[in-house]
Amino acid sequence: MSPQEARNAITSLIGALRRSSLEWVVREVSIAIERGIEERGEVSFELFDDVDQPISNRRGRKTEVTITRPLTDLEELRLLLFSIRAAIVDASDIQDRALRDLQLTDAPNPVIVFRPDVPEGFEDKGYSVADAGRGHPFEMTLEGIDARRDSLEKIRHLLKNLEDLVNAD
Amino acid sequence: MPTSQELIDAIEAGLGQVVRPGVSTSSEACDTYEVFVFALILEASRRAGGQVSFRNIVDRNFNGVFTFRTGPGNIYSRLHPYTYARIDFANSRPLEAHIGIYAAGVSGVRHECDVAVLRFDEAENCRRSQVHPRCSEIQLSVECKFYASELGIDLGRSFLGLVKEIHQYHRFFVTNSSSATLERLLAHHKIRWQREIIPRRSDLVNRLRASFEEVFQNYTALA
Repeated sequence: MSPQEARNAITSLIGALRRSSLEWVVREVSIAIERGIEERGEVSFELFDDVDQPISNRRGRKTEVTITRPLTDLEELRLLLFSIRAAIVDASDIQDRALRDLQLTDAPNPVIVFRPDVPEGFEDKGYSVADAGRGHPFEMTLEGIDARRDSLEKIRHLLKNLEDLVNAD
Repeated sequence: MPTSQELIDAIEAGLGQVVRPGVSTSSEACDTYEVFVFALILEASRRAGGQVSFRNIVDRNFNGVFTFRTGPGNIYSRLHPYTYARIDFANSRPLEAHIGIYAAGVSGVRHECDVAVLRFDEAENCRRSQVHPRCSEIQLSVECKFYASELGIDLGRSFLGLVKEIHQYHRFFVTNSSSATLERLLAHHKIRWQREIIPRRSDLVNRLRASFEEVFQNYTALA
């Protein structure tokens, strides 16, 4: 895949994520892209004269240093695909595994509900748990996961095909 | 072979089927991840000879519905029937495993523990007196980080600060993702960490479970 094709794919994927209410994935990838890649390298530190020119015969020994470089278009696309897989496929596998691991003989269809722990009457006064960074109440059931399973398998397969295409060259 | 654009269009169509607007969020993924690690700890305790049962904070009776916090809260909170696990061992005092509770650090300041295992006696005292558990009584604590992308170094710095406050022994940094820089930082400071803890990486999941199991083994051996 050429850098231009990678750039086009990145733009299309970001648009798809935004239209699918997955802004948070775009936000997380943006932070990683902006941060760049940290690598180790070796540099010889030199001494400089009065006019800021290196003193050629006073080159120091090579020293290990840290470098930050931007991601290439292909690296960026791979990161984006990794992030979609994590946010959609892995997150769903985690839900499934969590529910199955908690499955009991006397609770064959476990339900997990999440509720914010805020002071009593918090919302009655007009405050919002979302504003307080306490997440949203939600529920998880095996039936809910089973209902999405076919679509998830399809996405898993499509992502694999796209990854193969990116890694083909 | 379909083109990349055709694949992306098909992915977008698929996302419409699986994403629940307002629910498929970063915080939902993080909350679920904590439950996944919680279940892994319980499995490790069973392998170490523990017997796990569930209770809820309000009346101790577990009715088959697991209720967990969306963010950290007080171990004594009775706002909802929050679920915790009780772990009984043959010759040791029982333990409890909780999700998202505060614990008091060495400075007395409270900190969040995503998943924490502590003695039943400590937990019961805290519930009765409405206080936070003391970090010295936390037998096992896990910082869970679910990120769609790579982890930032700030998370590692933050965890280094946390273990300075809640002790380093049997404290774990666990993530679905990875970051070479962060791993170098944690490894340098001899912090226990594990990357790519997701169901499809059963090799890494098993390794982490074995580390948890070792904590329970030591607990029962020292009892």
